[in-house]
Amino acid sequence: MAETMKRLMIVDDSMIIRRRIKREHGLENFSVVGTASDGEQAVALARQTNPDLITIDLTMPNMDGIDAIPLISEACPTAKILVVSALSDKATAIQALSRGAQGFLCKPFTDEELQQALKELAED
Amino acid sequence: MEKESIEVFINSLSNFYRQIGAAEVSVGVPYLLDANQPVASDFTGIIGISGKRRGCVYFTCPKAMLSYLLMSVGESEVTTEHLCDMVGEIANTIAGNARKEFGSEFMISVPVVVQGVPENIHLPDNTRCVVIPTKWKSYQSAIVVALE
Amino acid sequence: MFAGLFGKYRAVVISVAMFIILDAGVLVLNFYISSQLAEDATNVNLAGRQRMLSQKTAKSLFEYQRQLEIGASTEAVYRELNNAVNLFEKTLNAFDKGGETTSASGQSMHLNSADTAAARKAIGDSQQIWGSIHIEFERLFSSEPGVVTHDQALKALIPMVAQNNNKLLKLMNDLTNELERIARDKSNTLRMIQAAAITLAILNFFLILFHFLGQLRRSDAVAEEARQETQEILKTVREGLFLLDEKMVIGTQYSGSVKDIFGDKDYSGMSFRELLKSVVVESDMKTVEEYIKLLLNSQVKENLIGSLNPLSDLEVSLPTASGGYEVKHLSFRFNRAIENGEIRHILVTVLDITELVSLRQDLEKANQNTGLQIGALKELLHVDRDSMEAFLKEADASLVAVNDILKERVTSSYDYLDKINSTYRIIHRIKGDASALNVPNIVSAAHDFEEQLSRLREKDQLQGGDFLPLTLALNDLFRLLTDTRDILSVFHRSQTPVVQQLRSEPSLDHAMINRLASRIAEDQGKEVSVVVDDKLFPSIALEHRKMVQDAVLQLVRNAVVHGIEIPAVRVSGGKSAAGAVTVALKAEESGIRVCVHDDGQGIDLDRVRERALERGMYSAEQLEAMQPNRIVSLIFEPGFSTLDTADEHGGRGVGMDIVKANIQQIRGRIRVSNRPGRHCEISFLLPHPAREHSESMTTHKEEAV
Repeated sequence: MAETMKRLMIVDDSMIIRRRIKREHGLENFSVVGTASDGEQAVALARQTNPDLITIDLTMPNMDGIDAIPLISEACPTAKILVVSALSDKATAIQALSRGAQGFLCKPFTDEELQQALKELAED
Repeated sequence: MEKESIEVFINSLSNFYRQIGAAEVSVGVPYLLDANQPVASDFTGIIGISGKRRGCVYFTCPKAMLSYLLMSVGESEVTTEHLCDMVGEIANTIAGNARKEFGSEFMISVPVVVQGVPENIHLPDNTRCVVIPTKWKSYQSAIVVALE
Repeated sequence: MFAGLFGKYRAVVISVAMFIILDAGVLVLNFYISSQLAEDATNVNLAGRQRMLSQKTAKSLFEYQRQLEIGASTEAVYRELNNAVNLFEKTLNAFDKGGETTSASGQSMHLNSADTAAARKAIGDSQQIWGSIHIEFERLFSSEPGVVTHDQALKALIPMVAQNNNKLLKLMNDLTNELERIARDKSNTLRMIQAAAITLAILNFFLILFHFLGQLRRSDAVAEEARQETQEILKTVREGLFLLDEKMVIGTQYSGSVKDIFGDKDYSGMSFRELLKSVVVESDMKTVEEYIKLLLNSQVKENLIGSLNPLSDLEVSLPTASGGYEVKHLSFRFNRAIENGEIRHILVTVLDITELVSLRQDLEKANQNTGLQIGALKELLHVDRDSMEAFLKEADASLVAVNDILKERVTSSYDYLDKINSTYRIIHRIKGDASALNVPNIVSAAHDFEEQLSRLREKDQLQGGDFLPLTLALNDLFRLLTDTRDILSVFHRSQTPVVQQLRSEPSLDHAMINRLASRIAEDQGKEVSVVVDDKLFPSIALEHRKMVQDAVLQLVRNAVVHGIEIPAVRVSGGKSAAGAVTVALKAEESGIRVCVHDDGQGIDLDRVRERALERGMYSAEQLEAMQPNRIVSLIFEPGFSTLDTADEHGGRGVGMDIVKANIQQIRGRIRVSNRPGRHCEISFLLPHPAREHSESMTTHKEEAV
């Protein structure tokens, strides 16, 4: 199959999480086009790189995920957004999704859960 | 507390080291915490557990060990933030495995990272906590399981 | 596809085609019949006209003659006569051979020849009569009045016409009647054919009707069956099931359980918000609605938001039929119902998980309480408070010591074994004490602990993690002690102490010794009687009394377990069925000797050797070189046991190990007097405190162990 390379962007304030997703996304034909550690960076990076897939944390400095998501999906309407966050507050997570994200992955997660979620999201 | 539950935590730690391609961790003789006075090293990652079981599990280790770990994943910058990230990630891996093993009956919080001796680890008073001393390279660390 | 359609609806298509053909047939027939009727009516009219013309001919002829006679103008009557004759002639010929004639309206028209027998006869007869008349009329018309031929013709015609006039009238009448009959017959036949065709068409119509009705009824029956099955499912399913539309309104169909869960009401058309109004607070309701909106949004992945379901476990208070309120745990599940690739509805599944939750809680509670059972409680009531408290305190301290042992840093693999052996000694002591106090659940917990230790001891290549079960068992023991203490304090608070047994009791605890001996004997199928002579007990130093009591218990246990044989063996060896164990305190020069004597099988030196070899304590050569006394002393070494199966009464040897250690601590000495097959006595000397020093200088024949 002649698929084009898909592009993944990772947004999380934890370096370890960023590294982990980068390393363990488990998707073929994917390249990580950039990582951001807060909402502001994420919006700018999304404008610049126009990724296909984005993983984003909710609690971040400067601009949190819930404010960044609508801006990102405005900048890249075709990008699929996966919220990767802890389940401490379901209401916030649901609100984030209703602002333009397509899926939710609960922190902490295993590698298999991460891969499963990204695969599901990448499907059309 | 069942042996199997605690083994899940121990295995998770081994998994973590395996994940980053580091040498195996060796496990010491587990013992009970005296009068439930928390033991802690330089950095401690605590995950709270609620639901079917209540309590917490924490991983505590010296700063030197975290620095070593950071370098082994290719992070040359050893800042406090990164050190906290690293111990948080270890706790995260432990929590993630636990969630997989125990299912949804365990509600597992995101790790809280504490530097120095934690003041507010709440340990259950109706049971003693199990300390599992672990050793990686020459660094002594410990998993403490405090479940009702 | 067309062929398929034709195939499926073959019967219908044929029926409909038949219906159309028949209808068209009837229509064509109608046209034909009406044209035939019109033709016949013309014929009948023309025949009628012939009748009239025959009379008109006669009348005009007579009028013409009279006019001629009176010399009046004949022009009009002549023309009339001429017309009548010509028309009659022309029409009669047309009736006869078929041909042109003039209609009533003066138009030329074609007439078919009449062909029935009666018509032909009437026409033939008329032709005969008319033929001769017509010839005379030809002559009349071919000449002018006054001309001879004209007058001759007229003269001939008058009698001829007068004579035949009535005949001709009758014949024309017959023709008319005949033609009328033919028309009637024909129209009757045609009507019959029409009726038949209509009947067929109607039959066909009913055929189609019944066919369709049948089919309709059958498909209705299938639909009804499906509906009933759905109803059945909705009625019996234990989950509350209903659909929500995009406005979050409940659909018309929902399972019966919805009423069981939320109360007997009609829920169809109710909004989801209304349903949850009383059980979910407003802010949570908003979250729930947001969540459902996410599900309705096809952009969002259903599989990736399941964990966000805000109603996965909802505790609610719902009104009951009796008017009260009941706390229930409900679990809602939301799934997309997709139709033609579009999310049409959300299927909501509500489960009452109250029982599940309470079962889970009960189970948790039960798990926490496994340490204490009713039986254990009953036993506790018999134990005197002070000994019990002392025991609990000591046991607790012992467990802390065990934990310290576990905590000690390991530097070589030998340290692991060391931990095991040290722990063994302590736990065994607790077990002995608990057994003597008759606290069975602590005995069995300690026994389990020992089992764990045995398993560890046999394991090669011990590692730290292997100790985890032990650590947990230690935690359980700690908790068991705490629980026991709690129960006791509750129990004793309401009770005034009956007998205050002091720690410095003036005698050995006979009851405890007897209880221990008889219980072990019972367990092992032996009989035993114990005699205790402890008159000298008060002269034992206070601080040693506890140790003496413990040691006696251990030695008695050892005597019953290892010494006393089962009754059958005893009797065959010439002994009494019941074994005798004697505990005696004897005054000696250097102190008090504590003896425990049994008349059992004694110590079998060969078995001791074998065992020591098996346990790897010594090599075969070393054992071979040992004196009998030395062999006997092996039973006091750690890890030795001559019983093959471990049970809680003995067989692990660590008890003897403790006895030895304790006695050595107060500089006492152990002596073993053994006669295989006959008896065994183990004794130790408690030196007088004052003479402790000189005691150690005195030479005895005792085993130096």
